[in-house]
Amino acid sequence: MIRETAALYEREMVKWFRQKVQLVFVVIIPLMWMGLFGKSLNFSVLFRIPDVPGIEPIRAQIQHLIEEHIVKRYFGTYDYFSFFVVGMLSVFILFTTMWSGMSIVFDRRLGYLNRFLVAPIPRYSIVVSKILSSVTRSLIQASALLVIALALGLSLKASVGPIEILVLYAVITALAISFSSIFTAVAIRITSHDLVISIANLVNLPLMFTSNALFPTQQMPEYLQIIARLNPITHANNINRYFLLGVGDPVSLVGSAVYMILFTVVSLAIAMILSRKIE
Amino acid sequence: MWVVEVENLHKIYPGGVKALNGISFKVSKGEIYSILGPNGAGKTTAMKIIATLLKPTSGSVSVMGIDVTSNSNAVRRIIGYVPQDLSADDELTGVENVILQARLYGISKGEARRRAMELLEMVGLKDAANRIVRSYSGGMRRRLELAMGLVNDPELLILDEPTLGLDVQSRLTLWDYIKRLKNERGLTILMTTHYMDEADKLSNRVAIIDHGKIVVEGSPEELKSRIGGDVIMVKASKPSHNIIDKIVAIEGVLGVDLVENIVRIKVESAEKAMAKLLGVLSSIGTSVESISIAKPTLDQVFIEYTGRMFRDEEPSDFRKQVMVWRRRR
Repeated sequence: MIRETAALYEREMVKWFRQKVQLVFVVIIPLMWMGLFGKSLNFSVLFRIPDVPGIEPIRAQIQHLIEEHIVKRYFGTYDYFSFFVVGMLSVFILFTTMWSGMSIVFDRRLGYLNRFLVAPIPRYSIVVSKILSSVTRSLIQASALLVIALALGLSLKASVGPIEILVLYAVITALAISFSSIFTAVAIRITSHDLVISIANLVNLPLMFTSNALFPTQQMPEYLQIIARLNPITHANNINRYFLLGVGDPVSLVGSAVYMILFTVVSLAIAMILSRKIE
Repeated sequence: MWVVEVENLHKIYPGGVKALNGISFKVSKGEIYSILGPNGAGKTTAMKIIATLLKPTSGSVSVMGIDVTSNSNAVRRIIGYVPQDLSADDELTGVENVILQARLYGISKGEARRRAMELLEMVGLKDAANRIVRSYSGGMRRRLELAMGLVNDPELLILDEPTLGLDVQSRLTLWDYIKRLKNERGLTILMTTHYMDEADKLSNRVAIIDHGKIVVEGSPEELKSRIGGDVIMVKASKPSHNIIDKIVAIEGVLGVDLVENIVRIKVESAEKAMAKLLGVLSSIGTSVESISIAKPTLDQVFIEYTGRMFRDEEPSDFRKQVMVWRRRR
């Protein structure tokens, strides 16, 4: 099983790396999001009182109050850009993995899938190789985002070391596995790539906005908070923000970690079970 | 033991299209067995069922005595399948494709590479091994597919329309490889084709299939001898109604039939009957567009048993339905 899966995984990665344009996009997409969106929607800057001559001591006091009671209270940090970047790490995992169904659909259309299906391999090895390659690509994408964001002014808390980075990668890997499993499983019986595109377009923005990626959840209406709590992106961000930015409450992390683990296991199990339906 | 045993196989696709209507045949070791029929006759469906890609609706299929439905993986291990649609990944190189395929049979990477180079050399692709498949010609792709079907050293090789869309030169080359596989390796080959000459040149036995049923089976020689005699085909612009009666009366004529505007006349000897035939045709005022003489071929066997011309035929509703269904897949 491992040999076949490795062979299929290698194929996916060789094909991906061979498309040099893809690698350019890996850099351009985070640049767009961080450089344009992240810098324009920067609440830390929006809430800054401009310098007006003669009001200086009062300006500084009011500025301090605003930062303390609005920016810090909502975002847990004075630095919205860093809050946004860490949130976007999870969203980028979604943006990359939501296309993972595409390759099964194209393999079927172009006849490659028949080649795999006539071989004496367990059907799930096909699905696992798709999930693994999607996870790999999304981790490469997230890493590119992290490096670019650091260059653009992401400031992590002072104590970030190897353990914090390890936690970050564990969390986004779990998230990548769950999303890749779901989007691959969905595509197992789909024959049209249009449908895959529609599904990806349907879920990408709603999943981003019903999480704490851009805004914290506490100011959301009750029903949105419930949705946000079911959204694994929220839990991934809770953990990542605590470990990278020192934002949030360590006690609530246990719940988030348990939810992440369950969500990953269940998604993967669904993909494995449905993989028998490949034909 | 039979390499392939198909017993009363039926396949009805979702939506009710009957692709196979109870076919039965057996393939023995070391022979090339061809299934010959027009597009949409059910050939590919039958091959896909034997290759474990489709489940039969009813009937039994076994390869080397192993049932394809209940023990699919065991069958997969001993067959090689070359599908009709190209299946090599055109973003990979030729050798990468063969290595990948070999590794799917649990062969280690190093061994897979060695075997891949050996197979590519055999099909004459050694020099193109490291080229991306997108740059291959149609004939090269077919040969690559053939190499991919042989990675597991199969007991049975299934070739679905192996020369479809190839030019004459490439077809002859591929025929040569197929013959060598049979002669040098003793490989059993089950193939489909809609080229009469291909079935005639390559196979030990042929089954003609039409509308999901086998209409006749036998060696090419056997089938041709069943027709007996020569055939004169007369293409008339407006064949008159009594043309058949008039021709039958000619000495040495064994049978006449009319398909569209072509009169097929079976005679003991075409040379002897020709003069009299021309006389009769002009006496009833038939204007003849062309005349051809044919020694028995599988084409005629097909017409004989199905009552239809083989080529240039509009697809029937049934076929159209299958084609639509295939496109949807």
